[in-house]
Amino acid sequence: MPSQWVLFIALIAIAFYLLRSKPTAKSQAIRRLFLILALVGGMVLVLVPNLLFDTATLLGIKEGSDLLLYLFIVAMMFYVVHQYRRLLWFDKMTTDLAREVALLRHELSETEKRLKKK
Amino acid sequence: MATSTKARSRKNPGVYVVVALYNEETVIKGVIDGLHEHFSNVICIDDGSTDHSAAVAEKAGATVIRHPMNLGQGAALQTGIAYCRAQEDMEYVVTFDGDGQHRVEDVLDMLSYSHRKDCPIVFGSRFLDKRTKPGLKKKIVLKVAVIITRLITGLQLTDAHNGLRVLRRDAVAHINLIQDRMSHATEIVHQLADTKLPWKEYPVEVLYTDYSKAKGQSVLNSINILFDLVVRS
Repeated sequence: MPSQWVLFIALIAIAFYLLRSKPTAKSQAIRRLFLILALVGGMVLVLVPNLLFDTATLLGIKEGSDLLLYLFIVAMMFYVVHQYRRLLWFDKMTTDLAREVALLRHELSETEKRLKKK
Repeated sequence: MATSTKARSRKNPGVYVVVALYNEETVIKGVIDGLHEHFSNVICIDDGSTDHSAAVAEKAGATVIRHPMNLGQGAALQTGIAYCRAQEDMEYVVTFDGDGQHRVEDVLDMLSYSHRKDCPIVFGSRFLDKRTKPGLKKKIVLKVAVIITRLITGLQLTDAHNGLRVLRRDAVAHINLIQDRMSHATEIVHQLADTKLPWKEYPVEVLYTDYSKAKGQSVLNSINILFDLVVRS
């Protein structure tokens, strides 16, 4: 069934994204492209409901609603992974910033002590 | 930035002992006093303690650098290393746990070993002799950590999560810890392995006080460590 391959590849892509992705302009553009596609696709499906059933049949899925469910799960997983990676990135920036603050504060207090002695 | 003008005679001036400090107010004074008998430069990184650890450490005469919030032991060690790297007279960085489970004598032995054998990286290991007696559960946790470390770094260490390390300036230059929490112990080995510098595990004794026993890790946490190291920012 073609649908099995599509889903399998989508899950591998998500795993790869979890391990390797970097916050670049390119990956952001791809995400935005997918968002636009999803919106346009949704509009088309609302206007032409039969298209959902036809696409499902083409992919070897029985019901249109099953195809929607699969798409939703893949999109959801991707979203979770993407947010997790963003969180890692923010954590790292917070740590770097906090470290700078800690070292600067220490240097400041050392300088103050030295000035007081003079 | 030159070293501060402390009046007391300086012991081992090129050696900087980094202690990550998080809520250890009951034991930290003893740890610092013990270190000060042989080392003038004791750097405590207070990792957002909610008790009076930082004040106690400062009163005991240590250099205290305060994180504005709790970031984790790995982050604290990296802050200490960053500070030490800025010290022109730094020859060695020693990492030492703040809960009193390491012995200062072991640090002296490891330093002299490093000098004698020209070995820039000396890891402490509690499993090279019979002195340390960890409980069964602790043993399992530590063995799992050893296996993970071997898988990821390729170094055949016997004790991957020992906080006692002696690192010469050339080794320190390569450390840049990103893992804020416990995974840093494997990460630091990884980065040191990448330097291709010679290393050695040196037998040390870990003192299991009731206090340090209460703070042990769980076996499940090794899954977190593995995940952290594979999925990195």
